[in-house]
Amino acid sequence: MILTSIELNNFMCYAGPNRFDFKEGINVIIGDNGYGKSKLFDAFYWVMYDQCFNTSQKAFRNTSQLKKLIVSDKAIAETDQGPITASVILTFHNTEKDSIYILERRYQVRKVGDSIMEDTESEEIVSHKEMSILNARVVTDPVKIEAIKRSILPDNIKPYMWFQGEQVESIIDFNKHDTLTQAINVLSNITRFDNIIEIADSLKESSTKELNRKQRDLSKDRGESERLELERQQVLNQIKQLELQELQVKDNLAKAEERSETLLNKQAEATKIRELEERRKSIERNLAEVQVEFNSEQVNLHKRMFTNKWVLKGTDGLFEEYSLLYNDFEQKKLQKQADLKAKIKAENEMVKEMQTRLPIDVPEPIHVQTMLSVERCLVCDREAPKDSPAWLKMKELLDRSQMKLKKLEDEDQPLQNFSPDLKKLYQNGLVMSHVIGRIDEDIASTFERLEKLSTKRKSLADDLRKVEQEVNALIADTALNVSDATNLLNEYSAQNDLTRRSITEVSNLEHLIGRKKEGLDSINKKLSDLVVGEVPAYLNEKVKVLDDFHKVAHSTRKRVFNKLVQMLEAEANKHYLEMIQGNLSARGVIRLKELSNGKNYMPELVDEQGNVLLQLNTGNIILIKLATIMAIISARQGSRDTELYTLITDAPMSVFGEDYTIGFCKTVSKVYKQSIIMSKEFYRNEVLREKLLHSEEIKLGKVYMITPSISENERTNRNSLSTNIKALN
Amino acid sequence: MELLKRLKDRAPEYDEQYYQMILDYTIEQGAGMGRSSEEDRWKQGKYFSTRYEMYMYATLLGLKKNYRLPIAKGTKKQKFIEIRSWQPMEVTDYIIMGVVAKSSIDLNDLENLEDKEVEDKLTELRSVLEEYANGGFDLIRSKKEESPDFFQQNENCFIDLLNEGN
Repeated sequence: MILTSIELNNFMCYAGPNRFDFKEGINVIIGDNGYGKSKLFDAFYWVMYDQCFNTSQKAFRNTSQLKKLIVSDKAIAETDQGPITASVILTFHNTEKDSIYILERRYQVRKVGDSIMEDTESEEIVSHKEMSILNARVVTDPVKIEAIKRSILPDNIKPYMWFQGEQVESIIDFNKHDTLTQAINVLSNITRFDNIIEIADSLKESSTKELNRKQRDLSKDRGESERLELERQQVLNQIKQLELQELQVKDNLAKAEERSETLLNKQAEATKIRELEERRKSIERNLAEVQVEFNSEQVNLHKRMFTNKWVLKGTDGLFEEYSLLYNDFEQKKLQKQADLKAKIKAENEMVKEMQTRLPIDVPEPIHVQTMLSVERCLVCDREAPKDSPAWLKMKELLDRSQMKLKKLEDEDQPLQNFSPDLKKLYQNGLVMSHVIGRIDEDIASTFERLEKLSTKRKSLADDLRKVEQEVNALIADTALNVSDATNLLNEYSAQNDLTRRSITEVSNLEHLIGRKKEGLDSINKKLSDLVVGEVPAYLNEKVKVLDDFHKVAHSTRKRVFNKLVQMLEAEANKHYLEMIQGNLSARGVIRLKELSNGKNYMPELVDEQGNVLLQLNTGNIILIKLATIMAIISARQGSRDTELYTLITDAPMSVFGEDYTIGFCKTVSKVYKQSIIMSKEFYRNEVLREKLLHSEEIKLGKVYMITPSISENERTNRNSLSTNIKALN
Repeated sequence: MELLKRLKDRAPEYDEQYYQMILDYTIEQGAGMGRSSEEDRWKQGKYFSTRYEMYMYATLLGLKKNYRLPIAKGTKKQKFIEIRSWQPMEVTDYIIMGVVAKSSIDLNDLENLEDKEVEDKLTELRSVLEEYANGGFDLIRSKKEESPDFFQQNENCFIDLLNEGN
């Protein structure tokens, strides 16, 4: 069956009519994240199963839950009133029968005014068309529809044929009980052997019962035989119980071993994560301390503006100006004082001089008064007219007796004395001017200290970022987070304990079963000793033959199964090698290891000496799983299964890196007759795209490039979003 | 009469337009105290512990750049805390010294004045101080308008501002 086309109409980001045609070989849809690859995968899945994968919830959701999310926003926005229909049509061509199946699913919403009425269900239309007949017939019988869908993709192989990249880990969950065995069952005829075993078991049981009955019939002591038979049944039941118990313990052991091994793979990474996390924490602590110191320096920096008088920076000119002013003030003041002193001194000197001319009161003042009034000096008998120099001289004799020597204090002093305050300002200014002289140096050294702290802080922050990057890279690589890593280490030790306990328990149970079996033998012996006469030869023969058949049936199933496992292993390795060609650092071969309970196999990577390679990263593990999935398919090649079904997968390569992309495509094109793969790797890497388009080793179908109609930063407005499809070949 | 004491008893005023700017760069005192650590407040872009620090800074900036800007008549003014409360005292005295140096008051004449006349001169000195503070605030405002990043993305902005034009 070949999928020849998909037509999408108003389905999610595929507004309006859209169509992809497909051919045999590997068909690739190339697009970056968010360009509509997953929506295309959804379209396939929706038609078949009425569900879409919700990436955020990691689960499939029905139309009834998704409703208008299925319909293109653009189509809704551009419709004024009335119905808007989203539909997807898949056309399959059954080349053998030369008939065509057309599967269509539709969903409708209605715009009434501003509100949108949503249908609750989608509508499915399946048509069948024989190539020889012109018109397609609509199939209405639900049973027939189911049959057609099963022929397109049977449920039991669906997980291996239609899957999303992020589902790979869970499709083949090797920690899940008998996953691989189930896969083998799905694609092999091993169940036929299980039926034979069932028949052999029941035949053996009935023949043994028949023999026992005959032995009791021939017993010489019927009562004893009945008692022994009862005892035998009891012991048999006990053994059955113990064996059941043993199986359970072995199951637990197998799971614990499996889990331990998986954990061991991640243990080194988990330890690394934990170490890095501790380092991260320690750097974080250091950083916090430096930050505190830095902040306090910064706070102090602002305080220093006043405590260290930085605020005065560059103001030394003020002091100089004031100095001049103050000096002038002082000088003037001093000068004034000095002038005053000089004046007093002159006056005093004059007084003194007059006083030295004649003694005071000589001649007596009454005589002088007389001489002044008569205007004549009676001493020398000369004229002395009033106000003449002679007259004035005589008057001085009178005044001088009242003259005293002047003191500075006697003079007029200024009203205020601001000298002390102004001096205080000067002295303070002087001190500050020295401080100002040192400010630049002080600022520089403070900034140097800050700079050092800042450098330290930066380097710690860099370290922190590096460690965080390393941790994040590891976390991304290993799908472990920090708490997972710690849990994992704890779980690893718990699983190891469980393994040890289970081993002891198994050995105890084996011992106990052995002893019960000895008891059973002795009962059997006693029973046969009681037999008198002959057990018919045919009966003995029948028991023997059926016992042999029982053994053969069991060993054959085991052999066939082992062969299948070997084949699977060989196929898985073939694919693995092909896929890792692009990266020489990948190494090892896949080995399918049987678990203790004999029920399941687990793939592991071993080196040439058969030593298990541990510490695989998620990419490795996914590769091994994909190789195993392909092995399950390719081991059945020629059995029509792979001929019949189309692989549809979205972003299967995103986890393991571009080195493996071409290898993966080559392998896929060999294993599957038709595949449809959605990939972003070819979008970003043009060299890779060229390789895909021109590689002779890849059987190429159609290649498309999808891009959104609107640019990335306008993506929030989806009302005009449609998807451009461009065929590259 | 004690000149300094009487001058320090005075409370200078400032243009009300700078009220918010002062708040913006100053850690809130009084009711706001103790609500967050000093470090946190510093992180909020507070560069001065008290409003008078900002006033002192502005005055010194004005004095340093010799930028004296009278507060326009009719401008609504805010009363400011008395000079005697400003700390540290050495810086306060230095500011007064600068203001005295820049004023045109004749110190020798001053001593010959009656108390009442001296009071008038002290009022004149206060105005000179206000004018230089106003000049300083104006310089900060224009710097802020001219390059807002200067104060927002530079922890040492006020130190750098002192350096400018040196």
